[in-house]
Amino acid sequence: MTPFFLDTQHGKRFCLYHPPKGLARPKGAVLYVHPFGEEMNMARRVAAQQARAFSVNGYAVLQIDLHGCGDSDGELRSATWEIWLEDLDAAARWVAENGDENLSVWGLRLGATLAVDFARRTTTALRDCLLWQPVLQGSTYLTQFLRLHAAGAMLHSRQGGQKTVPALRLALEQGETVEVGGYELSSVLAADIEHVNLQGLKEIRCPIHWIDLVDNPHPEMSPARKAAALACAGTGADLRLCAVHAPALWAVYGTTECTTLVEETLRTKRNSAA
Amino acid sequence: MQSIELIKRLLGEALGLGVRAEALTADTPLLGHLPELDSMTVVSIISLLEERLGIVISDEEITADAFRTVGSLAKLADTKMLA
Repeated sequence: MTPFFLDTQHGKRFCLYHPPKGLARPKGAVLYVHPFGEEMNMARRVAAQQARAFSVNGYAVLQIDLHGCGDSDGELRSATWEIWLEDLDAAARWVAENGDENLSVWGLRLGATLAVDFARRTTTALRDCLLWQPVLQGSTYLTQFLRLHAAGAMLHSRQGGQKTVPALRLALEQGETVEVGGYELSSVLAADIEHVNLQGLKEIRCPIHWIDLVDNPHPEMSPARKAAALACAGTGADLRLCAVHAPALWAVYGTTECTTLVEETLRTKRNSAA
Repeated sequence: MQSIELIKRLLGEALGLGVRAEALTADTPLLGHLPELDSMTVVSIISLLEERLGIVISDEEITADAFRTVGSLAKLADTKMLA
């Protein structure tokens, strides 16, 4: 595993590269798109477990910290959806220049939503998309993120001082940057997130593997999410849906590994080969 | 209360309690007693409640009172369902 900094137009990006292992010809490359905010940290261990599993099984993996996230340059308050897409473009170019072919994109939560947008726009012919619990609607996601403020206030007994979600939204609309749980969300990024959805699925030409994480020994995608996924994909997209028995590892602390998810994802990737 | 079972399951999921969820009762204290309860998991619990029960919980209802025990959370869910 090699850490390095990738130069981009908006600064350096911290990256981790896992080379394809084994004696056979490399099977392909995977670009990981991490989730937003604290979810990135919570999911870190399982993402690393998955990256290692891909690597050991003959896939190159590139993990990139997006602008303002992790160890990359830039403040989160200056990040935008467009800059993040450019980061992914730069990452894809680096992978190609490194000689790794057959690129797939793999994202978690808002990272999956961003991955879909990237897949829709990129000129690189992608092998497939792997989406872990993609965020369907940015507006709902933003509400939940802003709620962290109210939740945090309750836990720290600051009942009077908390800002309600509508108040935070108003501040954002007025061009202010709001701080939630240590993360500074600018009005620009908030507006970007507010408008994202998965309608872009329709425009993707490669197979899309959508994996929902359900904490049930007999996991099934919720009917609401299934219907929404199918609606977003329309008739054009090659969308395959499945649910894996796994905890909400982006929201629950202490999830250091998730073998069911990692094995199922690896299996899906292998079977996806044309 | 039927919803105690649902709340137990939901808390089990959101907090990653595993088999410990079975031991929860209506009187089990939550706020200040479960280390797993932080802003992220509080929001997860609220989101799961909304999703599973088809209700909407407003900011004002995310209070220390609602999260005092398993029972108080179940009561909040019940109230919203009857609304």
